[in-house]
Amino acid sequence: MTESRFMRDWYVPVEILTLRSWLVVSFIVHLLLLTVEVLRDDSVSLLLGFIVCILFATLRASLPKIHDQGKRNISLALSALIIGIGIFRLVSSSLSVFDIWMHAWTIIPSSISLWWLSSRAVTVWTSNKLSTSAIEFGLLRNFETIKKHEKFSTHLILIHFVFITVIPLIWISISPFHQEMPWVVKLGIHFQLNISLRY
Amino acid sequence: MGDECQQARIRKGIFALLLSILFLLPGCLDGDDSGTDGGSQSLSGEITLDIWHTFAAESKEEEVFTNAVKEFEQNNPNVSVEITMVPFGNADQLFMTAAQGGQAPDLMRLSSDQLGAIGEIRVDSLPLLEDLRPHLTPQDRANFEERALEAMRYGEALYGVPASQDCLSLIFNKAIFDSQGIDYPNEDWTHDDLLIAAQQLTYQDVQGLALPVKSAYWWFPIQEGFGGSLFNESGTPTLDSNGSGDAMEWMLDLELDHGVVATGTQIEGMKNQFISSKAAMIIDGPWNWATYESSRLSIGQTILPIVDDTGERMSPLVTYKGWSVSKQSEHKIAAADLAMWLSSATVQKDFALETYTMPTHSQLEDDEDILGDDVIRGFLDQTKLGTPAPTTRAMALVYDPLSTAFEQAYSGISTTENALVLANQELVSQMNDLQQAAPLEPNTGYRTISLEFQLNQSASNYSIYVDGLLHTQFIVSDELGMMNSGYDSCLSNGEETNQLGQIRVLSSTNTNLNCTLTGMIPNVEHNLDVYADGELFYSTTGSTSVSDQRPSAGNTSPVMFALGAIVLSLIALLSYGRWRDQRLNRTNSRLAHAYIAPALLALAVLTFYPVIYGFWLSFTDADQTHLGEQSFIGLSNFWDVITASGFIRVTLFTLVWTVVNVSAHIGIGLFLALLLQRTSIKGKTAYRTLLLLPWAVPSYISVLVWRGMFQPDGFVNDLLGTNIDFLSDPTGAQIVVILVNIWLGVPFMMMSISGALQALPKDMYEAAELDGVIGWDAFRHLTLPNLRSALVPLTLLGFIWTFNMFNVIYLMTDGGPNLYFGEPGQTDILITYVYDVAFREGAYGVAAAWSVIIFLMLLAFSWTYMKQTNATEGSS
Repeated sequence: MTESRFMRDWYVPVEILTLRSWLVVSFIVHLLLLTVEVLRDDSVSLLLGFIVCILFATLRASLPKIHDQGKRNISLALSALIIGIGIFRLVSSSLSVFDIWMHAWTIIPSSISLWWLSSRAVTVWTSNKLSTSAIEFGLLRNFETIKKHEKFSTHLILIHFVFITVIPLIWISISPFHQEMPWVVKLGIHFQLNISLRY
Repeated sequence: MGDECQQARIRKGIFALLLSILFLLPGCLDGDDSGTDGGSQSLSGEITLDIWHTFAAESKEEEVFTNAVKEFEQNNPNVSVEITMVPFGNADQLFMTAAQGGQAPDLMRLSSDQLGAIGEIRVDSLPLLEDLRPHLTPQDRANFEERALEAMRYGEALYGVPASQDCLSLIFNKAIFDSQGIDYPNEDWTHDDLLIAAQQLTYQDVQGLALPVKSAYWWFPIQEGFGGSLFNESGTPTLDSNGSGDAMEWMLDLELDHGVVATGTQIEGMKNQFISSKAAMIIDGPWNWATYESSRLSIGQTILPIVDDTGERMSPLVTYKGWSVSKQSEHKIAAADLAMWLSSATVQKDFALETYTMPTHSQLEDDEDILGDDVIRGFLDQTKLGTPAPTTRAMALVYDPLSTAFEQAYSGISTTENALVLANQELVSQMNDLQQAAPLEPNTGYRTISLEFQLNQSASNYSIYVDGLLHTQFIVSDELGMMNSGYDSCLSNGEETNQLGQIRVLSSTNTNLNCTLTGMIPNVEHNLDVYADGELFYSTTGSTSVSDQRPSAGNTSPVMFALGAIVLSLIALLSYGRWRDQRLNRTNSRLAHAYIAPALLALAVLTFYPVIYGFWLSFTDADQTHLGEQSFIGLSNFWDVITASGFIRVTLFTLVWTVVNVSAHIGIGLFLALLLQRTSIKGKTAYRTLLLLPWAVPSYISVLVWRGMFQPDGFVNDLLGTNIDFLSDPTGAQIVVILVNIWLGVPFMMMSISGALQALPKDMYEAAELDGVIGWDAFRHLTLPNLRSALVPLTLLGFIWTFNMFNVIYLMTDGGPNLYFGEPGQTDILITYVYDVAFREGAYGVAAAWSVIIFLMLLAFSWTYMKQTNATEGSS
């Protein structure tokens, strides 16, 4: 009995484990993105961005523990609220590539939260008493899944750093057009020109 | 056995003595090869001339120039010309540096305002440029517009032959005016008309006007229009004269209040705006006309408008560009001939018609082809309404205080009036602090011959012919003429004769004439004929054997002595080390000390000697006005540094810059290295390669690209959807330079830490994992302590490198924005400020004192850091 209780206390679904770290990252990214709103001098967006920051912090703090159905429901509600604000901000933005990327940092983590918090593993973990075999299965699942999550997050971070690294090279290759048109169009034209020159 | 040892010692002693004599001998030799070279002065014999020009690479100007040079070479088969392009912006600085190092070109293209910066500088007590007065005959001088020729004079000396002139004018895009149904600008426009039209033409992404609102050069015409002036008649600065503040306010308001000028528009940016039809009007010079035309724009030009309040027309500063001969040139006659050819009517006409360069040749004033071109005529009209830039040191100094005044007014920390009052005070203070070079002794007789004859009382005019060519003309007239302009001398009855243009005026009472004829070739017999009323009146021959003055190539004796002393010290040190090591039985190798001798020698000569020389300079009054003649002044320079306003601020920012950068380099580098250390990640090689790219691209290119990206119309604003001039805001600029340096520095740390991480034993982690030590705990208790031996030296190295990182700040912001007069800029760190002190202010002694202080700071930090961390000690 003691061993099974110990196992139950020890087991936490991988979704919750991952959310604990990912939501912290989302919170930090949103804090950094507040500087963009300051630069844009848009007080409404700044206020919404600040609210999203608080909501992410609250969501992180209210992630459910074992047999804590109430916190799970709160987390689900918070996730839905963040998604709503994220979509509202996205729709009311100029829909530039940067805006889409920026609001993706609101919508995607909150959507993942909603998805994972409503998953069977988390639902069972917060509502029912798990059997030892179920915990064993869960631990095995954790062991396999957490590696995938780690891989994904590592790639995500590295891709961001690589993008920041290659920005000047992208820009220098498209700069002749930088007076005329948005940068995505310039990029397209640049490669189009390259292709037409080559073929 | 004892005898053999003694003999060996004697042999070594003799060898050491011979070696030391060998090193000291060159120092004893007289290194004076100061040039009094007459032989190479003539045009005969093979001559190679070095010429530096400032035309844009692969431009039409460069093509016309190159063709002109080729034509000169064809006409002078014994002369070959080697052409080098230097950027116009710092051409004067490059020339000064080259001249001080004895590497100046024979001929250099300089503008009249640049001559003011060069005029006071001396090498070996001689100026950097040749006074061309003895080289040019009165007929040569008569070929140029008088004010153009005067603009090339610094003091009395003539330092260049004028080849072109230019100034700002109003250029407009006809298509944009047509699309908005607005009449084209014309010469009756007032500044209000300009503003109203600019407001009407500001729509969507089009701005009414393109103008760098913080640039002093663009402010000069507006200041004149509002009734102000840069200097009064005596040459005293009057930057705060009546109307100057209003002019600055009006100019800044074009961007800040009316929004007709795009935020943060700079010189390059305004050109791009106009080319891409994003600006309806631009205030620009003729030098960009060809570029605008080649962009298929339908453009027009008119003169700058009148200011309503004063009724005065905006009067742009007219600068003249010409060809100057270096004082160091061995072939001054050939160089002067080339300068005259490049400024000739033929070449100036080619330039005018092909590149819209405004001529200065008097023969072209009535040229049909020139006057037939509307554009050239329009710009020539504008130059006639312009104000010639004074060729003075004050003019060369005016830009820095004004730049600070503009930054203050733009950022709102001062009113325009106050900013200009402070700028004026700063300029006056700088002028008072200037070291004046000693007056020059004239090289009497060089390229001149004295001709004396009695006058015929009945003649009404005289002409002097040299070798059959008209040289000087005289008229007898009761008109007084103008005072002699100091190009040459003609005394009559012991008094200098007056001039009407380049013609000398004689009084009917004059009885004799004593003229110094210029333009003679040394050691050549010249036929001198004097005609009175067209009849040969007097004939003689004359020659001069006075040779050219050239600065000496520099006395190398002290340097050779110093190097000899270093070598001797090394020999003594190594001999002592060997003796001591053998005595203490530390080594059995007889040649161990000889093996390290070459490396020590290289270090001593290439590192220790320059450092010690820098230390020595910091105790002297070394200055660019008397380079090589510095004297010991004790700790005065150090006192200047410590009491300099802004010293604390720049030191604090240097510390912030260094700590933030090094922390970010180490932190991000470590983070990325840990991520890439994970075995399960695919594409690690690709990630590593891409993350190393900042290292693959030369740093100056990366930095310039980043600078472009942070412009108001650059990528960052484009991406964020903002319109912010990051580099004009003090805090913004500081953050930006730090971010760019972080971007540059992370790859090195990432790779270095990756290498150290791979050396950590894996079984240590496996054992720890069994004990439940994973994740953050493993990092904190295993990785970090084991990386310490790599991180400590890396941090120390990073600290020293970043502390002395020059290129990022120099290329991104050049230390700016400069908000305070006579102080470092907001993004200046110690090392960039030292550069300003040394190469902009020319105060080498003070700059050396700054360098010594930087060295002491780094020494103190390194010593403390190593002591605290035991970085260089092996683990015990």
